[in-house]
Amino acid sequence: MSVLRQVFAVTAVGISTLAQRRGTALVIVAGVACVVGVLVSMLSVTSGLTRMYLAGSGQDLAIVLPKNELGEFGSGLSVDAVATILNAPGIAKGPDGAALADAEFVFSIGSPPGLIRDLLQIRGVGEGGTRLRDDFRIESGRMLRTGSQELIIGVGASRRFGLKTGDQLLMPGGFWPIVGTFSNEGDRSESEFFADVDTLRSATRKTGFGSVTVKLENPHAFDELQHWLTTNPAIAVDVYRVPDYLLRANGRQLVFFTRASYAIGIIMALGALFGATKIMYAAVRARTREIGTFRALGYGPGPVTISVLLEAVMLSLLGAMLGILLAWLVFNGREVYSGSVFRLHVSTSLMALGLGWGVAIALLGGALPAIRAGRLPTATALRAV
Amino acid sequence: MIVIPRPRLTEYDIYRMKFLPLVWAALRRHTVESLLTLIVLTIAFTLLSSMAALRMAYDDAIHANRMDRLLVTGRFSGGSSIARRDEIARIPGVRGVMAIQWVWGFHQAPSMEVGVSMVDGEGIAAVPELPVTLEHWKHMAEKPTGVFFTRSEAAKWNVKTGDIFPVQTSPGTREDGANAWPFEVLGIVDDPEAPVEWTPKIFGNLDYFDAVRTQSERGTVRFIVAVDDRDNAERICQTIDTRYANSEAPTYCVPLQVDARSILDSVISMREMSVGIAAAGLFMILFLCANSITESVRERIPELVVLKTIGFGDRQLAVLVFMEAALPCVAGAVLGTALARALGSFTSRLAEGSELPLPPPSISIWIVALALGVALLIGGVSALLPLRRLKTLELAPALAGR
Repeated sequence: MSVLRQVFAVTAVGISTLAQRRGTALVIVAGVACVVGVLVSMLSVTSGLTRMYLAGSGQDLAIVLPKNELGEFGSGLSVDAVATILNAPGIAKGPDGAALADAEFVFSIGSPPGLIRDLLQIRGVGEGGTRLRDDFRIESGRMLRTGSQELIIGVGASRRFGLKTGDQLLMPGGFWPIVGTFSNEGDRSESEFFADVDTLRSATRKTGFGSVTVKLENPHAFDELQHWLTTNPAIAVDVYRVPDYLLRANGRQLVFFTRASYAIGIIMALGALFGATKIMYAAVRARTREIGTFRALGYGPGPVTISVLLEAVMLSLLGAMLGILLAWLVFNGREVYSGSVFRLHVSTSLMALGLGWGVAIALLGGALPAIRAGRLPTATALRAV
Repeated sequence: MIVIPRPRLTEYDIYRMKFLPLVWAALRRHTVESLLTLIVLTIAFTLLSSMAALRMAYDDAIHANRMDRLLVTGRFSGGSSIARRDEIARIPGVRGVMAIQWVWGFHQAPSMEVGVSMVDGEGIAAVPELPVTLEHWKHMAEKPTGVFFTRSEAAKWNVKTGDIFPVQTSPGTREDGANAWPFEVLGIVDDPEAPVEWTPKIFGNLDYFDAVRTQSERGTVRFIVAVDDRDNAERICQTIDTRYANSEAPTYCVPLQVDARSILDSVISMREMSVGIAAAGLFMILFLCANSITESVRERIPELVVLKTIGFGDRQLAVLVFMEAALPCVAGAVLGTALARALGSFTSRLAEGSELPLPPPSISIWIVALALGVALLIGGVSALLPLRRLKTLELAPALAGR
């Protein structure tokens, strides 16, 4: 009989007796489910954050910031500097021949009394602002009117602060009405308010802009644009691809969560691993006579060892799937807030990672019991009660 | 006739002589498996203790920020006019007002970000929890570029009294066009007893800062308002905000404790996750313990039946099984809390994602008590099923091996 058939036969008998050992089997399933569930749930935060940062910000968008500025909150780009930036090579042009770019300015205000205590981000955008954001859509109300003191609110900010079209917000110069809500495929701008950039600068008495976002002619045009802007003596700026900028600006949180997830995951996995070893030792003990019988019939130690490992892997995979399912049911799509509103995301790569961890726990935890099963002396095993 | 005296055995003697050897023998039946179980329990209780310590550190950080201290800033920009200090001080319930302004920049390299709290001598007495006092401030008044470092901040930047500590700020911060603030270290003060979120731990002279900074920014400050009664904090904040709501520069007032809570809530942190992680770890060991004790009882039915036959009552058997289930749990709890204590730096690193400075997580007596309580609970729950089986066991068939 081939080794493969032997493995199949021993495994099949093992599985058929699982019902009698359901308590022990359940320990492995539950243990691995907990480990994988916690790991996938924690990593769904980083996965959701990354998805939010990268939503609508493809490789063909670049952002220009004043030199050494870490964010867009300053106003260090003068009108002249913006005009120079818009003349840079590599920027895509619209049908009217104008550069597809938007000079923006971000301003924050304390939330009005009665709402969650936090800062509201007001982004001043120009006409190019919506053209750069391919997925921008007005969900209710209407778009901003140039030159008017009015706001539109992202759907995320609307849900978080309970503000909607028709409400008013105390801004510099008086109360500004919210005239519409917008969405943008779940990106970070949905956590902000938009205002007309020139009206906002005028109201806040700022003369400059915080950033200029440009659409590249093609992703390869970035190097040319960066070189032209950073070597231009008339301006002092830094240039980044938008995804790089967002990941850099928010990288600390992502790195922290990824490390914390793996640290907790490894500790829990160690627990599950030792638990699996204990359970598989018990399983081998319970199956001693059965294993002895197989050996007496001529089955080799290899198939016995492999079948024990296979049993551990199957139970562990079942646990991993359960953990992933629970994480998906409880967390996937859940809206949370961490600087911006975003949705937790149990991605397919996270699912694969969870399954991988399940297999690894089973192989490492089941190895010693499997080796012991293979080495059981036939006569001793047959005498076992 | 020789009379052999029968020893009078106390309840404790019975347990010591009969139960402990039985429990020990049961645990030693499968030594490797018992050890593996203990390792798993230790890991789970390490996780539980670490998560509980982390959670308590977050809560401590929130409560270290006092509810009877209000932070008043500008609703639209960084600050509020210093002229408002006396107006705010006259509001009923306000004990005192301190003006404060922060200088943010870097020391030596842009990656070495640093902040300096510029404090106001007139109001410093209103906030006695600050590590700097009026005496320190007088010293700073004599030497305007002087600053005081807290002990931990001095260690972080490796500075000592007499050192010059330059801080580079963004262009346009100083009226003279320079970017550097050449601060001189006047002394080292004790760290505050509790972490204080709202202020960097280097203290300078607000009057000097205000005289040197950009003309347009002069006179713009934040206020720390001390109030008599923490229950009135929100009401006084409303009063302040309402008073300036229609001015050119409305205020944004928040009790420090509320601010600390909102800072924590503004980003996802390990605080939200700690309970779930600890619960998952406990769920994992609950199954393991329940299975271990069930298997153990099932294998020892003949032994337990003999004990029942010679007079062990249901209660005594229940104690025996409970002890067998609970002892590894308690041992795991003790080892786990000890390990969590040893791994304190690991737990501290899990708190780094917080936007709020946290005290170092520590394994308090409450956490040890929690771990022991949970251990007994898990032992008790695990023993329920086998006990039910034992209770319904018929002696004659069991003795006959059926």
